[in-house]
Amino acid sequence: MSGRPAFPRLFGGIGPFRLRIVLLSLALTLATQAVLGYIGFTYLRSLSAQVETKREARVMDTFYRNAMSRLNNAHRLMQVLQTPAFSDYFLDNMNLRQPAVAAEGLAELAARFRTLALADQGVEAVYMIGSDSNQSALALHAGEERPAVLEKLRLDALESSSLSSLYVRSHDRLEWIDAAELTERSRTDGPGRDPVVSRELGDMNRTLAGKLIISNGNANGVLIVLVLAERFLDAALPDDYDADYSFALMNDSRKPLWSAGASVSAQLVRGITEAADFDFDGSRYIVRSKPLTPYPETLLFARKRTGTHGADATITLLFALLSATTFVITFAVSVAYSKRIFRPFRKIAAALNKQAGRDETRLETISPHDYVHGVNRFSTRTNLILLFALAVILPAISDGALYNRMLKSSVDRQIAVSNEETGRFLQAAVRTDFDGWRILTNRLAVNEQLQRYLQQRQRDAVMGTSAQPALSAADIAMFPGLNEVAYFVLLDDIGHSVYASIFFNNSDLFSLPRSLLRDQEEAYVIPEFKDVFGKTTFALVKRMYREAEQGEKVNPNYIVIVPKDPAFADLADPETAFRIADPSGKRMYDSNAAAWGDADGRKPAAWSAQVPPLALALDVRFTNAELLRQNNDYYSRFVIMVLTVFLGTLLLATLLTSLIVKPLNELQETMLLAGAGDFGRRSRQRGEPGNEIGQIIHSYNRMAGQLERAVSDNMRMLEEQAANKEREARLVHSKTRAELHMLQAQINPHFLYNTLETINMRSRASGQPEIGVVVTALAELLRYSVNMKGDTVTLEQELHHVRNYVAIQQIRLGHSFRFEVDAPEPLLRRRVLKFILQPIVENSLKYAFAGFDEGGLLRIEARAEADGRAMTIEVRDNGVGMTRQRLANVTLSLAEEAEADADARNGLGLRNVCMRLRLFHEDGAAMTIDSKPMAGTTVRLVVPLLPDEPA
Amino acid sequence: MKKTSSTAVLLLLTASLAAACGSDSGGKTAASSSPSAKASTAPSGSPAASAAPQSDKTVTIRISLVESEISKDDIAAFEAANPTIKIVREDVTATKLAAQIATGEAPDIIRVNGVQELPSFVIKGVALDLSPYFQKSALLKADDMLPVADVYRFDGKNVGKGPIYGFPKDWSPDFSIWYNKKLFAAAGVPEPDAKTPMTWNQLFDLAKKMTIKSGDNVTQYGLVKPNLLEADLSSIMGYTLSKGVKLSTDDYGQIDFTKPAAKEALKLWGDAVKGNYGPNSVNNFDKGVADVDLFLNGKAAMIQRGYWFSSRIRTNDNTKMHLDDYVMIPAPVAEGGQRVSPTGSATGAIINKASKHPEEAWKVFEWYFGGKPAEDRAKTGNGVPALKHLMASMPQATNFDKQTYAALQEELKYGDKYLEINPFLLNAGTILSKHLNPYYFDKSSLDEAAANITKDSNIIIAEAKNAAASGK
Repeated sequence: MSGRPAFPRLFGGIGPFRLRIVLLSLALTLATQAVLGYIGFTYLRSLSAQVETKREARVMDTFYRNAMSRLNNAHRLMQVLQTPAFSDYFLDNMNLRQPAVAAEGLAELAARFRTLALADQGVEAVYMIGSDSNQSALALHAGEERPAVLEKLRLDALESSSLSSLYVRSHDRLEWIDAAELTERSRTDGPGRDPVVSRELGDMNRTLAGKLIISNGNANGVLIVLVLAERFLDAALPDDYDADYSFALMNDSRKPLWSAGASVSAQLVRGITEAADFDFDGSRYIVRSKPLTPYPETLLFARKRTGTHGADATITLLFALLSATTFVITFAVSVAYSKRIFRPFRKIAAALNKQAGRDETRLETISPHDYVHGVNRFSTRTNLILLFALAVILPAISDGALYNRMLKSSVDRQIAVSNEETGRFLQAAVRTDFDGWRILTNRLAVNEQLQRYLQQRQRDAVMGTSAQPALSAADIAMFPGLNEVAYFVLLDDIGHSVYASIFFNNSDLFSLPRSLLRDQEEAYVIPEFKDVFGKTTFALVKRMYREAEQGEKVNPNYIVIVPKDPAFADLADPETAFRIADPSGKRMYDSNAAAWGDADGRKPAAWSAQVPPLALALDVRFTNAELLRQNNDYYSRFVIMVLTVFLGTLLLATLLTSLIVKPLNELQETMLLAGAGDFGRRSRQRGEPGNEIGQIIHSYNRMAGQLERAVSDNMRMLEEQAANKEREARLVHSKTRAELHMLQAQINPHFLYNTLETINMRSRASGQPEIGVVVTALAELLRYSVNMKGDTVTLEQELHHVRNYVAIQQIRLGHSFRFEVDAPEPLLRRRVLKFILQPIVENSLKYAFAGFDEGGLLRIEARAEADGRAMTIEVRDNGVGMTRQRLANVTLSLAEEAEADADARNGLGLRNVCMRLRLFHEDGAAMTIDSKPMAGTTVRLVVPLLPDEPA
Repeated sequence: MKKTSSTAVLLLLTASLAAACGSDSGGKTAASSSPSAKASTAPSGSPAASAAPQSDKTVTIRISLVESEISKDDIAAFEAANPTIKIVREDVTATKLAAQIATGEAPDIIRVNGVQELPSFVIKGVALDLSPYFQKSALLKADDMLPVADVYRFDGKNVGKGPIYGFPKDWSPDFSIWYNKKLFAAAGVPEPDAKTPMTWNQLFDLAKKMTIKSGDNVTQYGLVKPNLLEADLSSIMGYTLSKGVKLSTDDYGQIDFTKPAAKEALKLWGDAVKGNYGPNSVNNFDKGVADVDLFLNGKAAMIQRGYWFSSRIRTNDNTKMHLDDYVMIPAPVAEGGQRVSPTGSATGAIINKASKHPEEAWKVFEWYFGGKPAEDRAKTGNGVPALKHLMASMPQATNFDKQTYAALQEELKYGDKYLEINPFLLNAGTILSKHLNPYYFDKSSLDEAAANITKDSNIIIAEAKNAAASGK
């Protein structure tokens, strides 16, 4: 079991097959979760992006058209103010005329201004300033009944205060008036400035400071300055708009003019006017710009990019939790189920194991009833499929459903936000359009030509003359803003058409029933209005009075405006349907009637609001068809994924089954062979013996092994007996031969020894004791040499051998040297290698005392080393010594095995000793030589202490 | 006049502001704000400089002629012949032009009233010195030019001298008188002499006779002229020219409207207003109706308009069928003055000094003033060509044509003198109306009016001179 990898140990008793199944289940779940996550998040992102893109487009387009409409209105107002009806008062030298004439002109002008309803147009004030003291100048503040007469502030005064260039700059374009610049320019006034002029200029500057203005650049001899209300462009946005977008307006020199929307700050506006995406306060802002052609201004939109959608984090967390739960479920189910699948395998293995362990030849049988019940009734393949279905597919499907819910609710939330915003922008757009129409009716009501025409008609009626064409279609066609509507009709108080802007010669076509006319100040709508082209639409009605001649009572006239067909065309959006109803609930407009049916069974999202000031009801429906299509896409992808997982599971189950079944088949085959007596065949073991199938095989193999071993043991015993007999015979034979050899070898030394003993006796007898000594020593040398028993001798024996040798040599050399031995008693009993000292002594005698007649000393010292493990034996002479070169050669020769030169050959004995020591003690012994010329030579042996001679 | 003058004030102020701020058009504006035109002869417009890099691209030349002055067919023909140049016509008002000049966005070719506007455009550094271009031109040759072309020469002091900055598309002796024979016959008033010029007094007497009133309303005016029948700068200057009197000092640093000749003129116009011979500020009659229409519709017996008006008579539905009812007679002369018949406008164009494509602009300029459009213009009789060789193309077919042409030839003999235009007095119209209207309304005297006009004019002249000097 030591071969088992570390990881599976974590799973304790789980066998590798089960482990594999569990791991596979987990891997499948992981893959499934990954795919589910991928599909889900892709879907979420794509939908998110789409909703966002659509929302962005709607917000921008709607705001753009609203802003354009507001801007158009301001410019048209400027055009209207430059018509004689408004401008002549400032060109007609009113200050030179009779006061009554001037007063009448002023009253008429004031009435016209009231009709214009400046406040409705987002205009805070209008300045109309004549050129010089002959002319008038007025300031009209929205909401004030009468215009304020400027006593002395005239164009010439403005010119001399160098303020006029401001008004040139704002000619036909928006200009934001910087209070500081105003002050700066006003300060350059000449010192002699009239105090009245200064006061009036100061008032004007205060009104203008920090405002957007448009001027006519004095184009018609009257300087007209429109001071736009703070809300001028805000009105193009839904009320209190503070959602995700920021808006700004800049002029063609990239100067910011206005800004609104979410968390607008000066820094943000600066960033936006760069018209490139930018980072601010840790967020990325995406900027889009769109020039307000033909005006020189550009609209800018910035959207704070939330990175991923806000709900993403929550969804990711939920996803992670759900994934983790799924993993646990997969794990638990796969572990539990696989345990049940493999239980019979384990039981059989255990039974076999027990059988093997009992070491008996009697085999137990296994009852199938113990194993084939419960899930094990199914085939392994079915079980595996079931396992994967329970552990992987089921969680995958339920997860998919859950994710879908989660993602859908997230997208729904986003869509809801988008819808809400779209609705609010639509509301602003509808309001803007109605504002535009109301403004148009107001302007028509003060139109000079219409007024003159009505007066002419009145005169004709009184005098009985026929109506002259005082009003031509061409005059009116040029009326600013008229191109925004299909046509307008002027009715008298009983609904007869007096004038129509189209089909001029057929004005009777346009008459309306009197019941549709309401004698009220406020404009109102006629729903379900059948226009002259036969289309059902709506109309806007405004009561007007022609300017009365003295003392005359005038009947009201009515201006009816019919919007272009289709109205709100640019607001139409295939996914957003809206309808407008009048305050009584009557249908006025329906952008897409088909969108109101619940054709696909899905209830579209709805939004509704009231559009002030006409109290119109706006209902919006969002079909979000594209999103629905995407959702279906998501479902089909989800289904495809589940199918893929299912197929993958089938494939895996098949694969695993074959992995299990194949070894079982082999086992069966093996068992059959064993039944036939062939125990040698083993089932190949796949994987570790811990493998459930492996265990059975292993157990079987063990059992088979045991059976086989029993057989082979018997065989071996027989073989061994035969071999023993043969060996014994061989041993006897070799022993005999060895003894013969030994006997043979002992003959000659004994004969020589006996002979030498005879010589000794004879020489002693003949009074030659020296010969006797020599012969005795020689005999002992000989005996020592031929004694073949063992390699070692006691130091004492070795020294004795040396003494014998020295004794012979002293006689030979005439006692020219002394010989001393110094060895302590305990060491003498120590065993040393035989023949290690005599060759050294022989060497010394051969070289050391060349030329010595006397005085030579040869000394052997033995001493134990301090550590008690070795002894040192020194053979020292006081002879001629060696040159350094020679010593080196000799030392070298000791280390080498080959005989190098003469010096080395001379040291043959030493080398012999050295080699034998090395052989015997391996590296435990050492031999060193110290020598100097004429200072003797010392050969030092260090040998390990061998055990004492046994007592 | 009122309108153009007051906008001209803004124009001047804007331009001087731009010069003071050193606007984007670079050193050009500043350098050329010098009142001395000699400074402008510097080769700032030397060819090739800025045009070269654009050579491989189509260059757009913006031109501020009015729609009736350049036809789409002409533009198409030019563009076909010059594929690298595109012409864009643009309507500008004086205010818009002032703003464009201030921001360096003015058209490449700017339509100007030669007589009244050229000096100021030169002084403001807007006009490119075209002398080097004219010298090379095969279409616009000096020896082919009528003296009126000199209106576009200005040396900083004198019109008619110095470098040439532009060219008139056509011109007329603008003070000539036209009358409607039928109305004279109807009123039983003898027609004026077609050969001898009337004095202004005689003219106004005749106008008085031809004015028909119905209660407080006038049903037929005796005389109409551009804008209202009131004094404007050119009519005053026409009078003083005839008198041989200059109101400005030689350096244009001062002007004096209290000189007897000026006061005579003012008095004449004051009487004309009070006599209601034509629409004026006091009577407010026919507001917004053009003098030309009043005359062509038979609502005015006489009109003071140049030769070019003959083409209107030829083409108007009311008049073209009986051309012989209309007669052009000489411009009036001052009491005791010499006969003069100056041009009051000589409308033409200059090339914007800030143009990025002066070469291409010149090509268009040369073509328009010397090429086919010029030939076509001459044929219509809508003004007198400024090139001699085109004179022969002028209409001389009908009796009307012949009478008019003959009268013109007489007038041209007296057309060598130019109206006195003080280039620093740009808002004269505003000043005149400011101080003459009270006089017309009997709220002030002639002396007061003349003194106030003089005073205000001199303030403006001083300011403008200062502005021009500081812009150097």
